[in-house]
Amino acid sequence: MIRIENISKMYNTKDGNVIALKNVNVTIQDGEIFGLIGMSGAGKSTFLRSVGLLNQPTSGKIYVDDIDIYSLNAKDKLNFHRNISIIFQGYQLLMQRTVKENIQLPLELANTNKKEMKEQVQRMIKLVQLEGKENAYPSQLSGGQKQRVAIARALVTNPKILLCDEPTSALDSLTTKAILTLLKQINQQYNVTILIITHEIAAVKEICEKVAVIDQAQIVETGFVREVFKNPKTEITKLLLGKGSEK
Amino acid sequence: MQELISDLPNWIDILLKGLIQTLQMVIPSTIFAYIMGLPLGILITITKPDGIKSKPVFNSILGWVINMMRSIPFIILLVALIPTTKQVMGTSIGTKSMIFPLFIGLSPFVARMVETSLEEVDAGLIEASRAMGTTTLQLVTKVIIPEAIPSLIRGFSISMITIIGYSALAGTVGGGGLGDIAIMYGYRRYQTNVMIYTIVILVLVVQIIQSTFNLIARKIDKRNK
Repeated sequence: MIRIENISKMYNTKDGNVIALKNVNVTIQDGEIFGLIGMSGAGKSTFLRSVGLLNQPTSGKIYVDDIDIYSLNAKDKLNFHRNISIIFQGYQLLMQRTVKENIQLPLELANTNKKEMKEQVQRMIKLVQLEGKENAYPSQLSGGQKQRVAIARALVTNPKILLCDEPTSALDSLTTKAILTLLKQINQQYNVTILIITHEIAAVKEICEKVAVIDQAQIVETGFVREVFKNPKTEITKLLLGKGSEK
Repeated sequence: MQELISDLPNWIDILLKGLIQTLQMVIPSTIFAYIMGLPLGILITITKPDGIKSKPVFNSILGWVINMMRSIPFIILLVALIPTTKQVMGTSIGTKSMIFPLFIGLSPFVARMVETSLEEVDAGLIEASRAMGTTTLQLVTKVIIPEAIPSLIRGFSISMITIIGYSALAGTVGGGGLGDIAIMYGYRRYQTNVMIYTIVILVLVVQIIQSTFNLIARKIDKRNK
């Protein structure tokens, strides 16, 4: 279970303080697919990076299985990273490594032995259906294939949690559907908890059970997808749903 | 023009010797400059305020030292270093002794070249790698350097070409090499043809280095396969 308790994040910039998150509370149950939706600049990325142990909140706590993740020591942080993986809109693959070598990277970092590494990578390539592309370089792949490599790389360490930062925003609608289907399959097959942040309502409708709507650094609405989208309470949700009142 | 060609055979031996001396200065000093400059370049990159191992105070001191060394014109550094060169190399004259001042003069340049190459690595990729659980050393050796290799190779050729220019100056204070020949015969004895020979050879050497390393970089780079 991920418990986000009252986190806020402030950045000091030349133009003064910017509040990226303000008193955010979210609870994500094990095995859930949770969507966080909002416009650009609403604080989505900051939220995801906070949960991913990449960006410490200014205040508040994040618990994963009752462990305050920012209180971990350096070694435990490394292990935590292997339990929680992230995929990005821009894939973030190593351009000088082949598909196989990209997927293998997290295992190399964990000093896994060669034999196990090979088996795991093969298993992942099968899972994301990239057989035959093992020795291709990212520049030779389509966007959808790149995201598959990123997903394989994220899952190769058997994480319990997968964070997705706009995973389909750079993809066409057909590829989006295929990637979302893959994420759902992963969620069911391996019981991986998935948090997706996106501005695409379709992606949330497609696979999320629960959703939170974020606007101007605050969560304005949260609940089951069906309920939230059926009876949107806030202007921003209506706007995201395309039912907003035109100004 | 005719004389330029007909006189060439008389100079072949001297020019060849000069070329060998130039390479004897350039190749070892480039290698040593990289042994020093590569770690320095890595350090200055990762210790930046927004770097992966932020150490702002250390970073500004290191940056200041590198800038200071780079701001000394090489000919002055060369003369100022003579006593040190004598201590380190055993002598301060001759081709081999020039390796030391060339190494000192080029190391900060290499550090900046390396820095520029490493900076090209996408910040998003570094963040993604951090999210996999990397130590700083792993991040440098497994992600940043391998991703920057094509750029580092291009930088290597630029450094090597720069050191060829420096080596011509080293020639004038007893280092020998093509630069020395050009000055001695071409400038002091008004033998313009010798000057032209050395220029042609240097142009060819630079071209060969540049295109060889560009080719290697292109072959190695997997970004546009």
